[in-house]
Amino acid sequence: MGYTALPTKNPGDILTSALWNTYLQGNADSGFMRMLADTTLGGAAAQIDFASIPATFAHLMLILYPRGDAAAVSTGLIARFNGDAGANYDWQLMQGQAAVASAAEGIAATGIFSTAVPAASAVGNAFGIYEMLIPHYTNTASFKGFTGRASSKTTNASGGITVQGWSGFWRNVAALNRITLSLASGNFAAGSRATLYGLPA
Amino acid sequence: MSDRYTLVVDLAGEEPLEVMLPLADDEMAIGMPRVDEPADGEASIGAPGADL
Repeated sequence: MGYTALPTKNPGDILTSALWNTYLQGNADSGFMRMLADTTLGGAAAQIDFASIPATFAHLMLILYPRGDAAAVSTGLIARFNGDAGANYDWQLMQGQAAVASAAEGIAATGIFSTAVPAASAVGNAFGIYEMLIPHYTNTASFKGFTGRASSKTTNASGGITVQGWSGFWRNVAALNRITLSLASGNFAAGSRATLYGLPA
Repeated sequence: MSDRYTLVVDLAGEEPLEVMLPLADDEMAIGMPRVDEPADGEASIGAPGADL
């Protein structure tokens, strides 16, 4: 599967079911980059769980706009695949905050972790900004993982903006069919938004 | 069961189906890492190599 080039149509040509299925349905299912799911929380939720992700695309992209409701300036984001909460993940991140650079890792962790989610004690109306790219998610020969960027704003003062580059790997070769996002403490607050895209070959 | 919820976005059908489900206690905070809040002017993302 993948992109099917669209033929030139002439006046009077009829859009048959075969043409529809090949050039419209087929390309929408796997040939074009498209949104698979988009949700904005109307109330607090402990997890955002994308289940039964279709296996028709080459890659996935996830964009997240989170805020937490825990009584803290910020909290951590945890991503897990296929419902696995075992110690089967490894992650690495590097961070810039004001003029300070730092880094951290997790080995044999129970999820892929980042810390750029503003929470209840952060300045009002500030949300985190996340993008995650998950390549080759349906292959069954090698580990799955992602790389991404994250940013948060927690105060209006110097050091109030955090920027992170991060990546993580799941020690499993299974095709990825589910992504579960949760926070280290508290819930995702209302207004948090998550959008999952399928990317074609 | 807790009073926390999971927003499940099920993509099995033609249209994504969103369902809010109660979160079972054993699904909560399994091995969650401790995140140390940075002091003023200090960047901290927890001890490097923190055991997640």
